[in-house]
Amino acid sequence: MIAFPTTGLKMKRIGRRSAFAVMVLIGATVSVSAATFEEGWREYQEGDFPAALEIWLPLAETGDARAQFNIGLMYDEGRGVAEDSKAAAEWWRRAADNGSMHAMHNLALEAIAEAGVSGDYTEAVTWLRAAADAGSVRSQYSLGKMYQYGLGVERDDTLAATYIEQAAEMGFDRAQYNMGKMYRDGQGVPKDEAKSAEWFQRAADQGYAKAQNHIGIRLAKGRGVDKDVVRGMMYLILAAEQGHGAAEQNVGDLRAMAGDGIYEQAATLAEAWEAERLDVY
Amino acid sequence: MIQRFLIVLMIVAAVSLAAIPLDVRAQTKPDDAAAFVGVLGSETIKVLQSQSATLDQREAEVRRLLRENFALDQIGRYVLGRAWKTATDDQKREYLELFSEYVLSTYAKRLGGYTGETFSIIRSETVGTKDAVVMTQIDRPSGPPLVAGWRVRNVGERMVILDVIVEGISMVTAQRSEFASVVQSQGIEGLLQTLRLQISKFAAQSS
Repeated sequence: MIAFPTTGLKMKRIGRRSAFAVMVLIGATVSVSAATFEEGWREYQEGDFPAALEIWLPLAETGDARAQFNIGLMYDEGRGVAEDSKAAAEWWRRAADNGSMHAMHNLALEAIAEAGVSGDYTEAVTWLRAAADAGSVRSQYSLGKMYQYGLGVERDDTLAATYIEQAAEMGFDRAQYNMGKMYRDGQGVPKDEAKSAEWFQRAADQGYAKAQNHIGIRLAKGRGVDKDVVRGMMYLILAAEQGHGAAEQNVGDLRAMAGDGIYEQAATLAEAWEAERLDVY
Repeated sequence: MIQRFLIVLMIVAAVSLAAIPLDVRAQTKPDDAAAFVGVLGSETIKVLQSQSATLDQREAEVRRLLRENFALDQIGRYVLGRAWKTATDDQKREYLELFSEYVLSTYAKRLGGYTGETFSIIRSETVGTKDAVVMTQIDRPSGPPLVAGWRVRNVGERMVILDVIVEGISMVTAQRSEFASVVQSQGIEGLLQTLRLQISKFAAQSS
């Protein structure tokens, strides 16, 4: 049983509800539902979580998977309601029943957290597979990691690489970074320094700090890629700016070797650099 | 309610965290700790009240404030408990990265979204031989106020936050207990695998 918070109705919401009722009566249900979800989203973006909840709740109760998923997240993070992981899972199950891949994925992560103690990853794999089948790229990646670790499935590095590379091709930065490591180590794929550098580069271009550290070192040394100390230093600076500890150390080491001039050039490039982020589900 | 909370808080605070390895020159003065938390709280409220920033931008800014003011490496090391001693250097390095990511993403989301919050300091007092705990109350436009304690240590050049205590529950102690269960069941590599997998949660969807 989910306990819902009681929130005082504001005048603007009374007005919104009245308008909703009138428009339902005149048969404009579909367009109003879409608009109402958007209104909830605007309140959410503005940080008025109780207002977002109030708008989304009726939609969720009538089967809107987006509203069900977002309400689950609000319970999970304690936004606008008291934090309640059971209520979050309940809403996510309802959203998953209505086809939400996001809910399936988050349920898998909850199952992974529980399995950390029990050791039983069966439920997690089931949810990940369902979410991957529904189109979730990051679930595809996570499923690959389950095969890589042998959690809930027989360990299979080749299958792991297949799933992770598919997610990487779709633009998921973490998967791209992992492919960089897998081609470097020959794990599930043949060793290939050039491909390793290429994947690190693609993740680095999206702003992924760990990959920036790797490609930074590779560019500085010319490993799997043409040597370019300035660009190498630039990626190291970018990673360090994100708080990557090893990159901070590497910036210092490379600066000591290459000199202040190289560092200054790289810092200028880093200042103008912009991540090319891909929106991946 | 607040009095009961204070009692629980002081017990929890006194027994936990004293072992966090941070250079300390003297007992942290409660007034200094309160001033530090006050400035940090004001900066956070300012970020949350920014009309021009998106929710993602507000969360990113709160994340930056947390990263700059939490002693994340030291907390992470304490949270891992005895397993820290047996971990390899690579495991330690990756664990600290994952722990920071885990804590920052969790708390940036929990603190980073709200608008219309106000923040006040209830009291500040010494705890143990090194630290001070600053009690704060965060009032939100709806719902009950959130009372939180911030354990602060003066590390010479600056202050750092070592723990957040909400409703008598220490974040650090709770996390340490959770991680210990995973390490006991699956070893440190199992904990790292779990953390790697857990940092990909989907955020709210716009459509």
